[in-house]
Amino acid sequence: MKPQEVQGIRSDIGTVGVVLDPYPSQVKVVRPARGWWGGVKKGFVTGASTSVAIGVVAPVPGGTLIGVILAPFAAVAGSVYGAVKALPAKKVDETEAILDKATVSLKAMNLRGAFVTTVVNTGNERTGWEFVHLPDIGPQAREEVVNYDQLEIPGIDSILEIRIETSGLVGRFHIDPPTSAFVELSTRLIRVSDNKILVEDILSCESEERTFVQWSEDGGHYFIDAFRSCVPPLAEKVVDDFFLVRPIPAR
Amino acid sequence: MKGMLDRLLRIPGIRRLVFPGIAIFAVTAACSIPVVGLQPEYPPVEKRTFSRVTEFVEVRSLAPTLQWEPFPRSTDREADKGGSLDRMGELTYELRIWKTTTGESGKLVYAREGLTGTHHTLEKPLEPGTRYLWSVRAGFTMDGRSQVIEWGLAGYLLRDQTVPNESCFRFKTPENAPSP
Repeated sequence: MKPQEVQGIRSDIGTVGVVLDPYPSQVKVVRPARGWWGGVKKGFVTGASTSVAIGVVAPVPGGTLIGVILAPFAAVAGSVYGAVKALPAKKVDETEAILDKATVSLKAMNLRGAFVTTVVNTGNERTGWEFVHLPDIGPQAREEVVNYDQLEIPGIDSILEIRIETSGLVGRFHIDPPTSAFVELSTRLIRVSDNKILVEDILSCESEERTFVQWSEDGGHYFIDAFRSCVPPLAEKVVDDFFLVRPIPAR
Repeated sequence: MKGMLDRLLRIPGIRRLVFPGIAIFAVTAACSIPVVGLQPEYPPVEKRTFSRVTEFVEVRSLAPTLQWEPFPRSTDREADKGGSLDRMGELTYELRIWKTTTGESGKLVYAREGLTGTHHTLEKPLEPGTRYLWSVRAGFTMDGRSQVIEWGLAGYLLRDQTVPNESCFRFKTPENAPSP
């Protein structure tokens, strides 16, 4: 978007109502292979696909064909490696149980409430516009489209609608991959008078990487901390990108 | 299409122009480093040819002087058709440095706001032999409101992700550095 367009949009903003979806986000978790059989299956896929991928990118004539021919052997080697390296099923189950408990603790911490409060406070402190939290307004279900012009929200001319779309642990497909805790938001700035979406973006936060077992250490302390740590930077990112950043040409 | 290409390549001397041109384009495309925000001047951004991310460039001391290009750049002036940058009020820079953690993230170890120049010497030393991510952005007032530009990023640009992320500028401190 050009600076003039952004300025045009922002010049119409008066008071911003902030709404955050109340429904649970979609959860995506990249798990390690569970037990030796899980290791065999993941190792098979990893071995075969690695062989083909190397063949495709190798600067050798017929590299792809060689990669495909070697794929069954790589798959067998990968299966053996996976069977040896995979975590015992019991360990995976124990880790999942700890992370489930940590997830319950996270919900009890009301990070959603902390997040929306941080967005409102950051907006009020840094932008010069007035930000107001509207707790009872906004989408109540994933597919719901809210017609804000039909609602009684006096004094609010723009809605900052934030939906926490996805969260979880993201990483590569591997036997025991390091993963990052992540949160992905879908954010829209909507004009109340005609429900026009002025700006929309998908914003995300990713933590440091740890293995599945490492996330569960100390009762899931790192796991909880990773999601809690995403609250301030994500709130700052929303306010920055929607209300403060002047677009400049990239090189 | 093929016929057109054949006819084009039959033009005398065209092969001598086209093929070096393609080679130069390919090399330039592979070597050029995409940057958003202010380009660092020290430490510079370096990237291996087919790498997605930039290199951790070694700085000379544990309290290096980080330097970046000034805002607005000539490209910003050219893009500013309405001349709004002429109404720009007080201009300052914000600097953040993160110590890398596992993966491509980091822990904030140094932050300064309100810097008036395009360089900053760290006021406390960093750890030796350690990798850091850093970024800088300009902030200013215009028509009574605050504005900032995006955090500087290079390489594979993760513009929709919070900082720090793997696109932040990078440096590493020397193992045996002179005292600052």
